[in-house]
Amino acid sequence: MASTSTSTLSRKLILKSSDGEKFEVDENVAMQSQTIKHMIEDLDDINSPIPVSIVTGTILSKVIEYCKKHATEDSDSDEQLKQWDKEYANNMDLNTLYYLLLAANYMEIKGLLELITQCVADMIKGKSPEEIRAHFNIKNDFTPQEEANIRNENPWAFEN
Amino acid sequence: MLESSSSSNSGVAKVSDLPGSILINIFGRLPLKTVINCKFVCKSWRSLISDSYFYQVYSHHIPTTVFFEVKEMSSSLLNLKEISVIDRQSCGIAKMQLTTNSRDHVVDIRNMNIQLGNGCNGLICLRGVKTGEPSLIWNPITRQVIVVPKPATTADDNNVVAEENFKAIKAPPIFSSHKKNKYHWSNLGIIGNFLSICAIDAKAFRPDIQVWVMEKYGVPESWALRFSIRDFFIDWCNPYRSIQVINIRDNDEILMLCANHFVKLYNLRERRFRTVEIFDFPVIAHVPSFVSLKDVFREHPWGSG
Repeated sequence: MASTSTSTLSRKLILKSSDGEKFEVDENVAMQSQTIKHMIEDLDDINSPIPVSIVTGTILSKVIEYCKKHATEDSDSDEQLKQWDKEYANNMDLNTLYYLLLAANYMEIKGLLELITQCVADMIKGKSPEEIRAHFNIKNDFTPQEEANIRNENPWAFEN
Repeated sequence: MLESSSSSNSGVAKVSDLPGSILINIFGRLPLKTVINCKFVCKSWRSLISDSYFYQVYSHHIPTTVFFEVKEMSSSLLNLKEISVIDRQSCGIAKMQLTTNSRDHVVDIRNMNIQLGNGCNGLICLRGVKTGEPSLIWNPITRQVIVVPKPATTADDNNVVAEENFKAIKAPPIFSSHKKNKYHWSNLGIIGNFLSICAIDAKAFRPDIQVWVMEKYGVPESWALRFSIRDFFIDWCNPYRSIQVINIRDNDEILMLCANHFVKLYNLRERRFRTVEIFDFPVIAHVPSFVSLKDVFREHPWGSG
């Protein structure tokens, strides 16, 4: 057990972002991504850079930061890890969150996808349609007539 | 698409650039009230939420199950004016009332006394109590109602009257195998894609609960026991013993509403119950769907009426 895990730990992989930036990471860090895991299985030469085609270097570095934290298993308690996740997500601006979502989705990193999805959901929670549009810079594409119809639609009045 | 010029590689992303599957997973974590708000944000959000795929995602998140408060459970008669929707949120419970605007209803259901039937896929069957009053299929979230023609025959104890052309469907063998028919059934529903029925040992103090599914729709021989919970300890006093299976989660946990008050999670592997919530008034569980009845019944003669 100990010998095999050290040998896998020592293997390094090179990830290459869409804008050509290269990152050297431990295999167990990269393996958090199901997509990369599958790529490695088909790869003959492990030393050549693995392209992560839709993810830029800026975003990839953030993804790797997450994967590194979650690759080291026993150093932190669950509680500490949750706290770390929370701070990690809170430090991102909206733009970064979108790209992280796309990256986590493409790279199939379940934990990261879960974390950012929940983070965006928390931003939406409790907001009115107008507040949501303003916060996420969404254009209201309903015609005035459609909007009037919509207003009539909701059967439930909320008490609170 | 509108943003394609600004969002190509310049680093300015928009929420509208996110794939629908990601957005649906975000919406799936929101309380009902916010989902309703999201429907009013823009056209693409509106169509995502109205898609039946959203219902599937939404039904798998416990916090998004809503509960209808019902005044008098024993008769299961109610007036829709008296229904409140309880929307559980992290910060507590938000109550909603049905507003009085019903100008687009074929039938003014607010003034009918109705019996709540079973529901599935976010739709609830309502039965008029007085003779001549129709049965209705209701989506309480989109406020749409469709009048269902009366079935030619009424259901007897061992048969289930299903939708479509109202053929009688034989109930699982457990209900008819013994002369002293000790099981009674509680709540038809849909588990996965199967018609399901929940059977409860009517007399025992610690009854067995069996959940049957019809593996081939309309084929009585295909009723199969999906799971059973042995020795189900009823730690409350309620003569009705209704069990409503809300959903089965991927990790073999069953979310159910017991006796209209207790929301419980049962873990099939560990064979253990965990109480999620206790209501101090009777409720019916409901997984809200935003799918328009017009879409469901588009090709159907009922839809035109």
